[in-house]
Amino acid sequence: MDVGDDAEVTVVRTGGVAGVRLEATVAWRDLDEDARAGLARALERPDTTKPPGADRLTYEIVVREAGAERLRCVTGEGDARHAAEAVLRSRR
Amino acid sequence: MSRCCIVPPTMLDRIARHGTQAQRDWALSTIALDATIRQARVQNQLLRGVRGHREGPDALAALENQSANREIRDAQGAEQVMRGPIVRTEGGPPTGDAAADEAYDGLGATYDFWEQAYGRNSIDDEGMPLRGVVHYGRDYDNAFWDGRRMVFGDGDGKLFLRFTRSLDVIGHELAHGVTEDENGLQYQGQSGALNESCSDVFGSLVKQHALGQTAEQADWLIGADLLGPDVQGTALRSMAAPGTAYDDDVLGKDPQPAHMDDLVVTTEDDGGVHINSGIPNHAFYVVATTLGGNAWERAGRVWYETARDRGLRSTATFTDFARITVAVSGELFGAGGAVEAAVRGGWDAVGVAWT
Repeated sequence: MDVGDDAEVTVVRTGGVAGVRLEATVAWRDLDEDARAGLARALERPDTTKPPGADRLTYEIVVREAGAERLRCVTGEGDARHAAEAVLRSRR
Repeated sequence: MSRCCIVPPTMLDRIARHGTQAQRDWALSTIALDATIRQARVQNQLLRGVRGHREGPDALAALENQSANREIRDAQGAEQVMRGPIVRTEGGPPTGDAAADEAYDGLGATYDFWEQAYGRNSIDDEGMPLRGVVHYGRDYDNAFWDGRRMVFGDGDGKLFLRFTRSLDVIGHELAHGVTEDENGLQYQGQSGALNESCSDVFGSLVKQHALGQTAEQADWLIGADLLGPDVQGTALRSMAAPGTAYDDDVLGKDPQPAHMDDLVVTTEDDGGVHINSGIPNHAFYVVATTLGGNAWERAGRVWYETARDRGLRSTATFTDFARITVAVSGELFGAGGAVEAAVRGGWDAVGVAWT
């Protein structure tokens, strides 16, 4: 997936037993390679299967270039979680 | 052990009197078992409830398993629920690991609540083992019910601490299993918010029961032990005052409404299941504090029987749920009585129609 260095990515985490909404935006270039790769995989193949049970986390990932939305997905906890959490950690 | 007593009692009696020693021993033990099972069947009928629930507490199952059956597994930081070692089983000594021992104790307190308050034998009322998984993932900021077990993360240490610290959260997760077993409230929109609310209600009641607190003494907070030291807030949710649990730079402001006028319409969070649960949560709080005393005895009983009612659809709205609570309260405690009035008042307070 080709994402420009001037792109920025926003992650919104919802759900979980806490039910707290967390949101953070970072420059694509500021993410390490693992995080970029994880986000790219999620954007290409989001995990849309609804897992059984309750209180699971959901991540919305949005990539903007020059202020315009280019990519968006909603994904479950699977492979994307670590990359999405890396974005959220940048805010703390 | 066969539960089917196909040999007629008169024949068993005859064998017991006139058979060989081995036949007599067999017949006597069968007669004794048969009497126990008959007694359990009568007990099942008595416990089935006032509204003909599809399935009551299972006294037959209880004959075989009358106590908690806990199993705690340590995921050791992996995101797999079956790979890590089992670190504590029923009756085993403390491990010295706080998360494992808190999970074990919390599951025990939750089992005791359901059994002592409502005669319910575990999640499925048939003695289902209570499985907990601790140390799931690295800095995992969550706890969840996966349909078979409760899974607890350690938190990131900044926003959230380890999720086993909070007894009401443990009770909350296990109550998802009860909801799944009884009515399968769909995890979306208002039915999803009811699903979440029932978990908060029974999670709070687990804590109140364990602490011996009355409705007046309870804090009515969910997850009061979970927030990290720098977070501006007291808990994840407040049933007494939805929308006031936290107001923090990172977490934002608690978004829960306490009234239908403020119902949140959103596509996030499965349609706001953790947000709009504030409305039925507050209704329950009003009912419980209006009645006073131990909240699990009357308000909790009404909510439990509503959750088990065959008329509760998996797509129920707040109004559907409210109507059943009013009907159940009248049937359990007397039509037009104080409990029914309190239940009506609770729904009125949050703007949910019940007529």
